[in-house]
Amino acid sequence: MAFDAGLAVLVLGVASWTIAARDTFAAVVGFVAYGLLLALIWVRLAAPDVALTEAAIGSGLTGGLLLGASARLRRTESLAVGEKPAAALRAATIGLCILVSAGLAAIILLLPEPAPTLAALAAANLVATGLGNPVTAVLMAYRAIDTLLEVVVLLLSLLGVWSLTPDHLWGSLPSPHYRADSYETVTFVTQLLAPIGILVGIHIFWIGSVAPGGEFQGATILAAMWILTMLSGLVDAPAVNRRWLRLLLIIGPVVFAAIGLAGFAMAGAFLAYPTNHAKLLILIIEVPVTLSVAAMLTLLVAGPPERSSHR
Amino acid sequence: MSGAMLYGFCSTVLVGLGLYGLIVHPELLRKILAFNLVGGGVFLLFGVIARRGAAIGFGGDPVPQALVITGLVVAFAATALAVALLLRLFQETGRAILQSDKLTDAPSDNSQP
Amino acid sequence: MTNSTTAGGFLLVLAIVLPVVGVLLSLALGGRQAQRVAFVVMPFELAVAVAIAARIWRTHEMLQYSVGGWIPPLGVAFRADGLSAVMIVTSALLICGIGLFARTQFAAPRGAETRAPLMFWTLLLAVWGALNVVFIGGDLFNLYVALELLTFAAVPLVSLDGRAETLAAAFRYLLFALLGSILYLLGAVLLYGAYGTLDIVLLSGRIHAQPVTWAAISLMTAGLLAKAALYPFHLWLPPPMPALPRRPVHCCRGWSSKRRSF
Repeated sequence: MAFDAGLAVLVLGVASWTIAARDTFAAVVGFVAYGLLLALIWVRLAAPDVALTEAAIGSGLTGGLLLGASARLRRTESLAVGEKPAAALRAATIGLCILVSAGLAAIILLLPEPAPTLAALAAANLVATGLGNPVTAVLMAYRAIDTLLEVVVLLLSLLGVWSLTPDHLWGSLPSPHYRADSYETVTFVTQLLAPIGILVGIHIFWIGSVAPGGEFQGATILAAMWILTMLSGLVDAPAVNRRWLRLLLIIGPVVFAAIGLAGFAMAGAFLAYPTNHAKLLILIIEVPVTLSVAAMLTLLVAGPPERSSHR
Repeated sequence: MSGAMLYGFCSTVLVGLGLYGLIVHPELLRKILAFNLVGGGVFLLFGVIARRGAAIGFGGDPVPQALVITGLVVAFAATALAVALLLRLFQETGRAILQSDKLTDAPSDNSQP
Repeated sequence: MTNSTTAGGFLLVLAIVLPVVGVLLSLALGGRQAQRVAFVVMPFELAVAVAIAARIWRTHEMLQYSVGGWIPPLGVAFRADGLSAVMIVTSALLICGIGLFARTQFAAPRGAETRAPLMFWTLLLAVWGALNVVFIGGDLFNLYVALELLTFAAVPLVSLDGRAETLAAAFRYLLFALLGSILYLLGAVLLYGAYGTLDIVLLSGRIHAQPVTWAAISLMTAGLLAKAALYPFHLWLPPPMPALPRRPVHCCRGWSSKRRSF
């Protein structure tokens, strides 16, 4: 209990720093720290799958994205100083936010006890899915349509990012060009870390059927390794009009939708699995989805195309 | 369960903090940061509700936990789109804030950072 | 009302899967084919929309589909009643109209793939798919994902021409839309915490007046209104093309916020 209180206070402190810091770069660093502490809270809430996702995507990838952006926008900091709102508006906003937080807190206290839960239903149907991890069962079986739509949402946001390319740069390479220098620390670390990271990513994806983990967590680690190799210059970013890249991006959702449609014939409904083959089918879906999601995450961090050659 | 309730209050404070940052900061990148805080608070609340639903030997109700995972991925996608839009806006106008009045007279600064 | 699949419910699945497949195909085949893919999907999807409406008209019953064979509260259901059928057919006609109207402006280029045609046709199909999920979704979280899908498809359409004004408008739109979705999600989270399900029909059975319910419903309404109130921002968008998709978006949001009042 004391540990929980301390952790909560720490998280709120770092979050306040993120809001109150003058320098945007410092605020983003605070945000990354907040994300990692939040992952600890998820562990305390007995949600290790979520903790993995929060640390990897919520803190890691989002932090990387925001750090890059804040570095590029450094010059605009001074321009914004004149736009800061008056003290009266700040005070009114503080009042509003305290009201909102207090209201929410009051509502939470009124939630029914004992809490309604779907845990029993989820456990009862777990055998039919052949899985050992109930969270994976929810994601890939009970509410598979949400996961399918989620992958489509990721793809769409990538499309949206790509749509922001200036017309003359269409089809070219995202992210600045990083030159590989074998004496640089980042190059050395990448050469050590990338193979291990890829193995870890594959393991976390694989183990997700019976233990905390799964395709999104594994995909994030694979994406992180790809980003690392791009940052160190060992591998160059792929051009967005490459056929192989397009196919890599869609293979996951296509297989997902195809097996979903095959469910009409095999088990009588869209996204239904025949009981004795459920685990195999889920695996067949998960492998390409992991690869596609890894590509989507990498390209989302890389951004829209901004240079036309490998120089 | 009181540990979970503690994190429940933590989540409400996060929502309030994020809302404050969203309204008060003129810089768009800070707004995006603050929005992520609000999202984190809402997901944390969902996680607290999951913990309250612990039963049958599970530490928590798996349905909300899975939905939070989906939500985290969607939130990342939103952040990525917002950041890309912001950087493009910066390329076109040279500033990273939204003017409350018309943007048409803003000097165009197309130099790459 | 039983929570099982009715005959013809598979049409609801098709209404969503067809546009998604269209998006995936456009991306894979490349920008020059995107318009062709869209024009192939449009008649089929329109046919599905009309079939859904015809079925509901004939049988005077709601169409239902339990996805994956899992019944709510554990699974997700699609439902279509008379009102949804009207919305589905209307949006189908609107999108086909937009497609026909825009076919010269975003025609496939002769040479290499270019940005605007690929993006326009793919995003148009995505908006269509997202709208259909909003109209037939029977689960609050499914609706949240659909609303985000709609936002991510609509925002790049607004900024498609790449000018500073449209970029700024798109960013404002995105920020408000995201805030709206997260408020909506907060309301849905509270409803789950109170009643243990996110299925709309099950909720309408379990729900009763208490502070948690009032808070949840006001949050969800506020969230949806925040998205619907964006319409005035687009009045000053000069090119009519990106503004046209906004109409089905906003009539659907007005409708779905009415749907929230139990």
